[in-house]
Amino acid sequence: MNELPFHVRAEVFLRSLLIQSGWNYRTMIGSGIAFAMIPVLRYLRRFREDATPEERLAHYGAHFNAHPYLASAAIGSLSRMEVDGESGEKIARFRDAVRGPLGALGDRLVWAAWLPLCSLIALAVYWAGAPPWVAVGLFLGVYNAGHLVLRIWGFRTGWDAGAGLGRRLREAHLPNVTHRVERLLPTALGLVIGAGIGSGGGGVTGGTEAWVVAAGGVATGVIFGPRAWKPAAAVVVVVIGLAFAHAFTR
Amino acid sequence: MSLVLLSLVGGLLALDGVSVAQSMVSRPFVTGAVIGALSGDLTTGMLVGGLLELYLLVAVPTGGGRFPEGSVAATVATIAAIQVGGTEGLLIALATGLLWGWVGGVSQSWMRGRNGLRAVLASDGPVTPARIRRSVLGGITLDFLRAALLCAAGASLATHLLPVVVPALQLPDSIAGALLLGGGMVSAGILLRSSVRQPADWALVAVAAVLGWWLAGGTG
Repeated sequence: MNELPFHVRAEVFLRSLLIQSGWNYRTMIGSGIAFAMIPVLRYLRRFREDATPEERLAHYGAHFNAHPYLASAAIGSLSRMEVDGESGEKIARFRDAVRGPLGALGDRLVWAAWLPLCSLIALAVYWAGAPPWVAVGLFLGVYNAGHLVLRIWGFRTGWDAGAGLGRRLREAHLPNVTHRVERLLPTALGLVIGAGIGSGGGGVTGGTEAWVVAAGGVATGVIFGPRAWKPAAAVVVVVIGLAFAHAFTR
Repeated sequence: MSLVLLSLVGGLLALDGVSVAQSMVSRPFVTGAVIGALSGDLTTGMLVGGLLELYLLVAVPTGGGRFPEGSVAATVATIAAIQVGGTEGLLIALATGLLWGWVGGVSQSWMRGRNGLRAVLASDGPVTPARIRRSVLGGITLDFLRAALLCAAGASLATHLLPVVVPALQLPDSIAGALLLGGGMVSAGILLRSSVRQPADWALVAVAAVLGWWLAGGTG
């Protein structure tokens, strides 16, 4: 018995969509990993009596963290290792080895590159005059095409590689893919800044004012970087505070 | 659609942020459109969602990160903006949404602490499938209730207070609109700072900006 039926793998994959639902500071996504592995253990129990699900689940429920999409690669590998009858110690070592790379690779590829790129394209398309549902559909369609491809690829790669996932990830050259996506960001940002000015942010402003405030906003972000967030948040609080003070002192 | 039902929809959309699937229906751009459409004002929903998407470009749904919660911010801001109307109303609604989104971020940290009480550690007893299911389903339930209640509370406060506050403010539309766009462009600048790697990229940004401006009808 060295394969899992399709329906078991499909259930594991679907459960991996809930990988972060029990996210906590003690085990991070450990509960989600254990939840996804339940169908594998349930299926294997028909053929084995060497370990109770409780013992095996204790390994999977322990502290683990990874990018949620690439966690599917870890789940694929763990499924393979479980089918191959690997020891709990080897599984624990594997988990320790892959959680860092799976987190870093995914964060950079998805959160820092793919998501902002899709958001920027959708905003530019909308501000350039596309119908609302076209822009929203484009965003969800393009983003989730990449999202699902990554999850499915990760699960398959993990299942094929088993404990050799690290090597397979290196061979996949994910940083190169990330780099290619990142190279598109300046163009997409330029399009959004231009479309934002041209449309006056979707019609809230226009003309010279739009040019001045857009240039000022962009310059503030470029010069101060993420530090610009705190003053911007302070401005929001002050605007609300002044509005309320003004309203209730009249 | 009633405020309660809209808050439930907001709570469902917020689940996507961390707990379920992360297909990004929780992004402000989508949430604003959905809440706007359900409220009968898709245009305002898109306006709010688009601007909030720009503001929250650099806020990503990492498991442990604390950022303003985009879906809660967009739900509250859209409901409030539709209620109040006008550019000035939009500015205050957006600011209220951002502030409430920040409260959402704080409440997510609280939720993660609560989830820790249901974490499946062997030291706390046998790790059974039932215990794991409780941990996962409990996390989803708590996340939904948290977000839906936040949306309801934020939208209720905003719809009661903003109609009083906004007319009293008497801010010219031109200034309100400029503040809205300028604030969002700060996020674009932050992302630009980390994206531009070589001087030639600035030329690319400039050419793309001219193209975007032209496509958006800037010449007219």
